[in-house]
Amino acid sequence: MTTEVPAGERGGDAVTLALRDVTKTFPGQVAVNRVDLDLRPGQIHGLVGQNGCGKSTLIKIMAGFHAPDPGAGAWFDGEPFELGSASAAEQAGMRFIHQDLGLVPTLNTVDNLALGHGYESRRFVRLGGEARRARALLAEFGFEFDVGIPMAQLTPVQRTGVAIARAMSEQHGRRLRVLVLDEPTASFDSADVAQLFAVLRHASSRGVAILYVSHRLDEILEITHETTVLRDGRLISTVPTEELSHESLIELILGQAPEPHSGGAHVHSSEVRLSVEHLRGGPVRDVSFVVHAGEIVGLAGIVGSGRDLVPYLVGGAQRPSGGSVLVDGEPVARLTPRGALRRGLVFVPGDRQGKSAIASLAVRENLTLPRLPTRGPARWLGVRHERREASTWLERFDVRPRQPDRPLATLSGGNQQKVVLARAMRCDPRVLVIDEPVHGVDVGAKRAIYELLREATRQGVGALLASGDVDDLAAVCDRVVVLRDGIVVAELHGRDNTVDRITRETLARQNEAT
Amino acid sequence: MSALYTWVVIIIVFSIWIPETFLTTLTWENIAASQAITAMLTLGLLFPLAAGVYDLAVGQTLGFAAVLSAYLVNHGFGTASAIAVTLLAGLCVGVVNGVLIVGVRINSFIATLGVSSVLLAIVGAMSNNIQITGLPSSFERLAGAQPLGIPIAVMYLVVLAVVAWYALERSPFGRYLFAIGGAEEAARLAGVPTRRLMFAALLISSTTAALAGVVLTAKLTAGDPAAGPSYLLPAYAAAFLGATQFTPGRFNVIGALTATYLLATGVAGLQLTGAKFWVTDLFNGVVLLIALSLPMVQGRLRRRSADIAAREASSAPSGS
Repeated sequence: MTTEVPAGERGGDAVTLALRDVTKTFPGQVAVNRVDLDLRPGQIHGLVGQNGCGKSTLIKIMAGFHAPDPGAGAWFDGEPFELGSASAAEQAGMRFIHQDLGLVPTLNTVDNLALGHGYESRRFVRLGGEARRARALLAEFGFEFDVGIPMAQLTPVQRTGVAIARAMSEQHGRRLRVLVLDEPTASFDSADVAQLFAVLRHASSRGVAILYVSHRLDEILEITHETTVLRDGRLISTVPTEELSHESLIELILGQAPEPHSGGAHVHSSEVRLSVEHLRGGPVRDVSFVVHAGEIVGLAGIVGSGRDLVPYLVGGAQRPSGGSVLVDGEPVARLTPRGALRRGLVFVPGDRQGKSAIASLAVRENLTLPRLPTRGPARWLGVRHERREASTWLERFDVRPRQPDRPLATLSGGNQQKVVLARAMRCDPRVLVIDEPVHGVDVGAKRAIYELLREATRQGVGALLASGDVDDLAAVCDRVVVLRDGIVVAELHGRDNTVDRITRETLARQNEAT
Repeated sequence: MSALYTWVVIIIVFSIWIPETFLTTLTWENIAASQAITAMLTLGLLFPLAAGVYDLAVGQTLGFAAVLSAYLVNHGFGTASAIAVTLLAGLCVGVVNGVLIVGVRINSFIATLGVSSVLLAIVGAMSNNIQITGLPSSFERLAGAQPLGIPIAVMYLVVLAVVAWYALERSPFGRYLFAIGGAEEAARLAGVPTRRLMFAALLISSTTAALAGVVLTAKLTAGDPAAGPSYLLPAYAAAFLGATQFTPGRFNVIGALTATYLLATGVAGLQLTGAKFWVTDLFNGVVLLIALSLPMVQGRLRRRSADIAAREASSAPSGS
């Protein structure tokens, strides 16, 4: 247990929320390791670090979603404060704005605001008065738009503005004291960022302590007063932002440059399996690259860089607004999942629950779905025959338990992912496009999945692997394509394919690009 | 499998209670024949339900086909051509449903309710809400014949059931429908042509409903404008009750047939005991709700005990 009440120990001014020695251990992993954090009224505090550094766990502890390990201390306005309780956080006036914002997309601004502060009258909603109130509130934050149209029709920054305005105007509980924003600008244009900053400055001028979490170092440098850097769950340092430069911040995030290890030791032929030419769509502005036979090409980039969208465009899951995808030199004419499958391009989506597999079907049925083992002209789907074939695949991919008739939902995450990978390999792919294959998968299964992927490329498959995990990309891929703001900014291979270089490229400043 | 036991229990109860009326061939023939129409309707309905689409227009499509076929034979059509036109009209209802649900992307629930209302209006216009009678005998023979002593409607049903079983459970089409019903987006990303198949499923339910309507008119020897809606709940009840049996959680042919006849046996038995008319509806509703609740409650109990077991297992190593 920490002993002293840390209010006002640094700089002499008051501290709204002080955290000391916060640790969170998950089975087999220390996610947050003895972290201290001070949030001061009227100040914007930046929180940065690589994926998996413990940022999100720390936020979840603050929000009361996780309880910290015993020994952690927390003070709110100098009073001891109970971490790990959502209602305590709510009562204290802490609000969390995540990327989904928690707004109801079909309701308009007036009603979404009312979800926070209620309507003026409990008995009768006077539309005119409510709309005036909503407009006045938004005007305080520098917004002026139609408060009568549904959330879904507003721009991302307008929605974020509504979410912040709602957090600030809530009447029940205490007034807003601490505002935590997690990657708020991921889907923003640069003009939007300026507007959000105006909102945040307004909020902080009213004494709110703000924690600003972002991968975008430019934003951290511009808006925050202090910056805390986490690495591997540990607190690296908390420094006044004015003392930081872009380069020094990257050094802090990465730490000592790790051993330059190259994943590109594998031989691959010069035969081009997949080529993507001038692909456009949404945040993806112009992306071109090739994947050779026998090669694993990584796709890196922060959230919002287009990294998460490119696999969907290439795999035909979402229609691109321009560009073309070629398999073995031939353009894929009908770029749908089905059309791509026919040409030997198999897309493996990331999110297992909703997109990559069907939880209610049996393992066997998931495994065979894209290409059913039918026989004869009647396309008879013999279950015994199917079960036998599924069993051999479960054997090959070491899926446990080896019970083809079990509902997929009863398997562990890693084993579900193996089934999804086996399903892809069963289609005799020329090209595999894989998004986040090891998300939420334990370490053992993760290694097995990457080995299976490597095994597939040895048979001549070209693989594209999109992932937010830079360590994995550096370790697994022969070459890494880095995206930033919807364009390819670097292709790293051989000695350059290191965690350090990839991270540097994903974070590099906009005006340094190209 | 509990439906089979329940069915046996129902039969035993009524055999003891009212042996002189319940245990007669006539009763059984009646149950078999009268329920063949509901069962046919249910079989068609299984296809959109498997894909997670609600076709609430099946009842009214049946009523529409029943009146249309009677109307056509009374307006100069031959029996065969009247049937063909009626089935085609049923197919057209399916096309409209498909365009609204798959094309325009209206929620299937409300889209098919809207179509039902339109069909109800057409039925009214054709019949003036009066039964259309005076059908030729060739039409009546469609349902009245008893080759080998078995009501012919039951034979239609058997043929339809075999086809539906193959299509749903042993053909790629059926597998794809279940995949769509499980997770439409995941199915699409796995290369399943989701929209085309949902459309096809709606064509099947409408056309089957039209066929059931023709058989109904032949059986009643009249086109009954009020018949349609009364078939909707029994068909859904049988489909959902059946989905709790044999392959739990999945709409299936054997389960649907068992459920249809289980409900019908109970209703027939109650009617023979001289119960009031409303007991039928009560029985249908209560059995359906109990059958749907049981697996939920069982699942929750099983999960809870699994949770407790897991907690004990995880706390054991740290305790030692």
